[in-house]
Amino acid sequence: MTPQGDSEKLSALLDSELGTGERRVLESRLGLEPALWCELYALQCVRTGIRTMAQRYTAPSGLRARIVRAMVRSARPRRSARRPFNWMRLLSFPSSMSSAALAGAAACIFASVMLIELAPVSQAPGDMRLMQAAVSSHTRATSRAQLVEVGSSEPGVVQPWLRDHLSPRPPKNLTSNEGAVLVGVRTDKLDDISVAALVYRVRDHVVHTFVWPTDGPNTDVASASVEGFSVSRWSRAGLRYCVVSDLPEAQVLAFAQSLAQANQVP
Amino acid sequence: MSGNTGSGENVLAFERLVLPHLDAAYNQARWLLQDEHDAQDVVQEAMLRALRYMGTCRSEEAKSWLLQIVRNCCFSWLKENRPKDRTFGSGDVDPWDDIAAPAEGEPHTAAIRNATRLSVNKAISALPVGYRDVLVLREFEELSYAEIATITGCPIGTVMSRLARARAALRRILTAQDAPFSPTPISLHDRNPIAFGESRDADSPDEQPLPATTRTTL
Repeated sequence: MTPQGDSEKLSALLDSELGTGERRVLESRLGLEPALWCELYALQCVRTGIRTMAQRYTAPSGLRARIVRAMVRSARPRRSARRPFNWMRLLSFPSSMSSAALAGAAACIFASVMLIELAPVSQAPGDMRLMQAAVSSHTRATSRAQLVEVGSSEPGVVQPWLRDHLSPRPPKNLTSNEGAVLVGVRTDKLDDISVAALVYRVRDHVVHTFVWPTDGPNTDVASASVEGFSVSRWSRAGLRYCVVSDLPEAQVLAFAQSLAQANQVP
Repeated sequence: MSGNTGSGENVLAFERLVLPHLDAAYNQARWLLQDEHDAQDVVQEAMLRALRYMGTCRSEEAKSWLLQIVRNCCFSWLKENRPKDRTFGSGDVDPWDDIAAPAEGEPHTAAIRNATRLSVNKAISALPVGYRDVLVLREFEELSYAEIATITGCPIGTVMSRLARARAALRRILTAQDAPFSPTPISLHDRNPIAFGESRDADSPDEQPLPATTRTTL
């Protein structure tokens, strides 16, 4: 084994990081000292082995979306500051705009331009915001130990709870034909709107169906992919529905269509 | 993370300069922390920190700047969660001396003998984190000693020393495993006075010369 000083110089020689003088001295020694030459050869073997065979990890596909979700969350202004954004003010008086509003706006722009994968249907800004809020709520809830406030799949238990917490006219049918089992229900908020979150399970996957009253017209089921999650939403009989899950988009859409069909107004 | 992430201009700069290096950031964290979930958590934190301090990033050094933040986040995480992993190779003490290379007859050595890629990965993983740190920056990112010194906050001499020790340690363990490498032989007659390491490696895609801006003057 060569002395440590020689090992360092050989390693640096291999990396083309040795100064001119030291390199010349070392190269002349290499011609005279076979042991030194073997050492250099062994070092090159090691380097070649690392560069050709070692694992180079690439960021998982969900990491980018996860980072952006965290950015949007961290940039979102506090609720007390929530009001319609004045774009003219941004254009006219950038220096007077609060940094929180600017950061929130920038993050929303960034998210919408860069990383939010949306279905090829047009979505109103409010719709997109609610879908993002639904996805955030889904991810928050699934990382918590307690998903539901009332754990039951019995309509006789869940329906009265919905009447008390959601609307005097809750969804008539809470079952779906897509192998989803109702686990329970809890209250939640999506972008300051109080909603009921119906929690289903399909195998190991959690499916959230957020429901809240709306004055809007009935709409058909539409699906999208938001931040890597499948989202379907529709309106029926004065209620707005939004389904979120990490299941494939087609499966979530089928679940949503089944639920919408079950609550079809005659 | 609390507080604001930055101005719209910073967000756009982050998207243009920093996000393209997400894979390098993840690779670095993955090798340092040795766990995919921990690496994802730490990279997320590092990216948010990078966005917050985007104003201090110079475009020509964005990659090094990001890797420095990732490294700092990794070592902070290790300090808090796995303090025993934070072993550095100092100039005086070689921590590798305390870690025996697998013996020839050990069952796991025999099992990986025929799987060279796996054995290389395991050998790198077995290095003290201080060695792995510089090795990943040099061999995967092909950063110069000066850049590695900036990222790690060490003198160039320390970088040189840690790299040499890391390679010596790898050699020891890989020799014990009989890892079948087929390196390109070095010829003493190949005497390009400027680029000793480059002349014989020019044909190898894995051995591309360093960019002029990062090459140390010889």
